[in-house]
Amino acid sequence: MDQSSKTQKIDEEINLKGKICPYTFIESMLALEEMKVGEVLRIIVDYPPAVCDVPASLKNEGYEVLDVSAVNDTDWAILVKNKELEE
Amino acid sequence: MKFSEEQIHRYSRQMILPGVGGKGQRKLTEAKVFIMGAGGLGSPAALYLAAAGVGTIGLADSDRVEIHNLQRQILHRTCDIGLPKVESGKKTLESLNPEVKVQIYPERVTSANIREIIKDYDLVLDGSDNFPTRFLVNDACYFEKKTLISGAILRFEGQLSTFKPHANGPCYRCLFPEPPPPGHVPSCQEAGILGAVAGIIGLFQANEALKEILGIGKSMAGRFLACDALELSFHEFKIEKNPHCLLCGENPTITELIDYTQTCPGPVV
Amino acid sequence: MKIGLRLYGFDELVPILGGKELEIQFEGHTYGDLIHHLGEKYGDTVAKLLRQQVIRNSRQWIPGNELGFLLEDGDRLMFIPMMGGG
Repeated sequence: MDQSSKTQKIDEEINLKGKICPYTFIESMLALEEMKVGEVLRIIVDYPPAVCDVPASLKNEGYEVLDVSAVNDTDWAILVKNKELEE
Repeated sequence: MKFSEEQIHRYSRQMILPGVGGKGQRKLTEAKVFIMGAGGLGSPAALYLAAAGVGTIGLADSDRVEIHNLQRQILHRTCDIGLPKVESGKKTLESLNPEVKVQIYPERVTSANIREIIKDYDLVLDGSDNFPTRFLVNDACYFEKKTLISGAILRFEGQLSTFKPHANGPCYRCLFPEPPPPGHVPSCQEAGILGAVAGIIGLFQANEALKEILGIGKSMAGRFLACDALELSFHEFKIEKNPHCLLCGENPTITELIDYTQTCPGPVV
Repeated sequence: MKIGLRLYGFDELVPILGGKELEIQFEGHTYGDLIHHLGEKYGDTVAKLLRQQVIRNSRQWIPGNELGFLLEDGDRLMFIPMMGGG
C-alpha cells in the first residue's frame, strides 16, 4: 500500500482501473461532488496519462491533491481533498 | 442523480469544462426549454440543446415541412416533406439524443393557449417567423416571468438578445414597440435568407440558453447584437428598460395578450 | 443640425440614399424632425421605412415611436430594422 494511505484518513475510494482520460477525471470529479467539504477521496488508476492528467485537472477545478503514489507495478493512488467550490 | 456510463461518455466533452462538471450536467438534465418555431432558428437551436442533454425541449410550430424549408431548416429531411414540423423535429432530436423528452405543440399558438404552454418551462427561445407571434411570445414571457432569448433573421443579417423584464431588464417591446404597419418590412416572398445565417443566430440562441441554465459566462440580457453575415461584422449595443414601454414600462397600456393579424400573406422567409 | 446616419440592413434603401453611410443636414432638433426631412428629400416611402429603431452614438436606443427624442449636432445614428424572420 502507498505510504500516504497508511496515515491519511480516506473517506471514499473509487477504482478507475481500465478507464482512460477524460473519464478518469470526470468520474473523480463526480465522486467528489457527492462528498462533504474536507473529505478525502482515494482514486485508483492504471492508465499512465491519468496519473498526471487527473491531479492536474482536479487542481484546476480547485481541489487539493494530497498525494500521488504507486500502489504496485501497474496501479497508482491519487489522494484528493474535497473543497467547497465557488458557485 | 447518478450518471450512467453512457451519459458520462456522451457528455464527457462538456463535463470537463470549468463551470460545467456533474453539477452543470445535472442542471441541463433538469432544464426545460421551450422553442417557438421549428424552422430556420429553431432547428439549429433545438439540435444543440438536445445534444447538450437539455432534459425537456418543447417545440411549437403549426406548419408542415415543405421543400423550400430544407435549404436551412436542418431538423427536417426530404423524406419528412408533408409531415408536421414538430413531428419531424421530434424524430430528429430523439435520434440524436434519446434521453431528451421532446414535447410537441402542432397547434397554432395564440393568446388562448400560450401562457398555459410556457408556464412550466424555464426558458423560452423565439424562433418565430412572423411579427404577430414574435410580439405574442414576448408579451406572454413578460406575464409569465420567463427569460426570453430572441433571435431574428433577414437576408444576410440577424439580431439577438435576451430579455428579462421580470429582472428589471428591457423586453422586446422596449426596443420595437409595435408590429410594423403593412408594407414597412420587405415583402415576405422577396426577402430571402441565406441558410447559414439562420444557423449563426440559432446557435447563438442555443449558446445563450446553455449559459443561462449553467449560470456561466456573460448573459445577453441588457445587450443587443446586430449581425451582418456578409461582412461578418457584429455591432453590440447596451439596451435598457424603456420607461415608456407599452408593456413593461411605468404606465403600461398593454395588459392582455394580443393576437395581431398577419401582416404578410405568407411566411416571412 | 448635422448628423451621421448608418443603415444596418435596409438593402433596398441603399441605392436610393446612395450608400449605407451618409451625412444629413436638417432643420429641427428631434428624431421626428429628421424623419420629416428624410421624407421631404427621399419620399414618404423612405421616411416610413426608416421610422424604425435607432441607436444613437452606439449606446442609446431610440424606439421608433419616440418622435420627440432630442438629437444633438454631430450625433451618429444607426438605423436598426425590424426583423421578423425565423
